[in-house]
Amino acid sequence: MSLLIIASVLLGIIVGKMGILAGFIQYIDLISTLALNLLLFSVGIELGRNKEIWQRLANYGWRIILIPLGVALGTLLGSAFISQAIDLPVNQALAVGAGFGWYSLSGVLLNELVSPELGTIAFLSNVFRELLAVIIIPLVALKFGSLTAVAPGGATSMDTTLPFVNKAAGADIALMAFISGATLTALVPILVPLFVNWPL
Amino acid sequence: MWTIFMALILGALLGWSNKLPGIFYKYTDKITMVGLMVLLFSMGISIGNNDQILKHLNSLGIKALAIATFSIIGSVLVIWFLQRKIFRGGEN
Repeated sequence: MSLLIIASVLLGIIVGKMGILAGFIQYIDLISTLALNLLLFSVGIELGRNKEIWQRLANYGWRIILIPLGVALGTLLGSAFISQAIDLPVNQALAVGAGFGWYSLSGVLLNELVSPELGTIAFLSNVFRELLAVIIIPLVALKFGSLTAVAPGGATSMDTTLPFVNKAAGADIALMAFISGATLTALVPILVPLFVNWPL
Repeated sequence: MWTIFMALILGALLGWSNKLPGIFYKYTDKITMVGLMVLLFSMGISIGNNDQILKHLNSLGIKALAIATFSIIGSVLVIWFLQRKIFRGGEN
């Protein structure tokens, strides 16, 4: 499964680099959007079928919001922790981390607000987060318990990494992953500029 | 963004209604996998098609990988802590 994913991305990079399917490039956005919608449609069907999920969610109540806040806190602690070792100011490392895997937006934001260099780091870092999440979600769910499967994907837990959470941890955790991902997605455009303008 | 929500909600409503023919459910896994591969392939093309990213891949890649790795470690640890302290009742 992971091999299939890596192969898909690598094949895409090679195709993009070689300029094969050059006429196809302009349709990437449309195709990605369609694929994403198809993906979420089928995940939605799975969620809707499992009616006991909603019952369980109601039992969690307000505590559900602690999940995205916990993912955000852990991400920022980890980013701050490593900032000195990679020679980045703490606030810049936090801004990159606060992309939560949403590489397109965080890359563009930091490219505009700071420098193309930080924009590239943000883009790559959040691409890596998504790729690493896909690989590590099954392991994390197995070793640390099913709830931790919502953590690696960050904001991508609502779309691209959601199927992996669903597979590794079950549909009820996938619902929490979606809620967590949606909340984190909303936080990205708020936190990234905030950290950039935070003098440290 | 909103179309994503609508796709999910529409799917959830259809799943909830139980009105889809049984054979349909056999294919949702395959549809999910194909959709994902298309998505990842498209992402690869976007990366491969951007010279700036490829040029900076080595020099900036290490920093990016470090932040991604520690973001994941940090968030897993915090959620692990929450699972033990707060979500015990809901865990399996």
